Amino acid sequence: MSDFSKQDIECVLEEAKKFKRFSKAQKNRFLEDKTIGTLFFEPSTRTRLSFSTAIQNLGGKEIGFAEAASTSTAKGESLTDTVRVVEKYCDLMVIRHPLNGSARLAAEVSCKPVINAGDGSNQHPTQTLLDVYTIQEAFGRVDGLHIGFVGDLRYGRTVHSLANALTHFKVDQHFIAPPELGLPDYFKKEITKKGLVKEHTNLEDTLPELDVLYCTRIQKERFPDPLEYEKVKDSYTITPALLGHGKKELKVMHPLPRVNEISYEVDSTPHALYFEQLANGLPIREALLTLLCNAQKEERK
Amino acid sequence: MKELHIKAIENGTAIDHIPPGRALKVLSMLHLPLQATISMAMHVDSRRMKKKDLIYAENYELKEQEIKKIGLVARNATLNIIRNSEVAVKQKITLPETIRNAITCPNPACITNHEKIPSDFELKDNPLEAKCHYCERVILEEKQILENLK
Repeated sequence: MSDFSKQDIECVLEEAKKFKRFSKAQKNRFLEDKTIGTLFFEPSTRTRLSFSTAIQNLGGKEIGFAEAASTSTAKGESLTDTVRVVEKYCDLMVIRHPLNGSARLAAEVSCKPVINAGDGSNQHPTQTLLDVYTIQEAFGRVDGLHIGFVGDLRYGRTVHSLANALTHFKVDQHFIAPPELGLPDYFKKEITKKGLVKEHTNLEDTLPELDVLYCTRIQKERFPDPLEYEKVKDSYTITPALLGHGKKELKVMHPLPRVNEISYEVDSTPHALYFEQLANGLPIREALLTLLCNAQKEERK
Repeated sequence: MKELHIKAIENGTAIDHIPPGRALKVLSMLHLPLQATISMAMHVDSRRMKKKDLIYAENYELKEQEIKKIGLVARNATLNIIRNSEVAVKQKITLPETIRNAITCPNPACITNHEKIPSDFELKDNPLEAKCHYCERVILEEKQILENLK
C-alpha cells in the first residue's frame, strides 16, 4: 500500500464509482481479449470470488488456481518459477500468498503487472481500497473522521494496509487492543511519523469518540504459538448493547470472515456497514483490473 | 616519529577510524578472499576518536558492495586504496541508502527467508533503521541489525 500516493487512491476510487453505476452490458468488453492469472496460494473466499466475478463481468478470461496443493508448489517449485510460468499465459496476475513480500517479489520477477491480493500478515491493498471507498461512500468524506481499529492489530494485514492508506487523509486513528495484539513497534513508529495515532486498551471507553469501528478477526493461522492465540481469541465481541455507548452514526466495518467478533444481532442495526463494504470489493477490483490493463496498452503505444 | 601498529602496505586497502571493538565484526562480515593478507589493530590511540580500530588488506581492493557493508557497522571510517605505496583513493565511509544481501530479514515469514533471492534493505541513520524492501518490516535497533548481518 505504501506504493500508492493519495492521487493514486483517489483515481481508483473515482473509477470504482463509475463501475458501481455501470450495468453488466456496459462493462463486459473492458477486458476483452485479456487473460488474468489468479494465483491463490492461500485460502480465500471473498477476494478470490470478487476477482473472478470482476474478470467475468469485464469480459476477460481467467486462468489460475485456488490452492497451492494442486500446483507444482507442492513439488517444491519456487514462487519465482511459478510466476515465470504463469506470466507466459496471461496479461496480468493477481496473487495471494502466505509469505510477506511475496507479491513484491512476483512483481519484480514478472514482466506483467501484479496485483497483491494479500501477502501474509503484511498488506492487503485491494481490501484497503474498498475500505476507503466504503468510508467515503458512507460519510461523503474521509477527512475529519475518527477511525478506530480493534482486533488483531499485530498480525492483521487489513489493519496495516488501511492504517497506512489513512495517513494520506486528515483522520485520527485509534488502536484498541490488549498488549499481546497491539501494533508491531516498527509499524506504530512508521505511521506515527505520518499522522495522529492514539492507543487504547478499553473499547467501551473509546467508542464515543469514533465514527468508524474497524474490527478484525483474531487470526489463529498467524500465531507462531497456539497458546498465545488461546489467551486472546475471545478478547472482544461487538454487540448492540456495546454499540449503545457509541455515536448514533457510528459504523462498524469488518473485512470478513468473522468468527465471534461481531454478534449476529448487529447485522440488522444501522451500525452494520460490513455487507456494503463486502459488496464494494467488486467495483474496486473491476476498476483496478481495467486501469492496469489500460496502462499496459498505453505503455505499448 | 609516527608509531606504526601495523606494517604499511604497498598495494591494497587500509580501513582507518573504525569504531573501537568493531574491526572483528567488519572482518567477519566481509569474508575477504585468501589473496588478501589481513593485518588488524584494535583499541589504537586516536586524536579524533580517542580509540579506534584499523584493518589493512594487502593485495586486495575492496569492492563497492563490501564498502557498503562496512558503512553499516563502521560509519565514518576512512577507506584508503593504496597503489604502489601511495594513497590512490581516499573516502569517508557513510551509511548507504540501500543494501542488498547483507542483512538476513528477522521476519521468519519474509519471502527472502524462503526463496533463493538476496535480501534488500533501505537504511536510515540517526537512529539507525533498516526496512526490508519485501516484507516492509523495520528493524529499529542497531544491535538487532548487527546480529542479523550475513
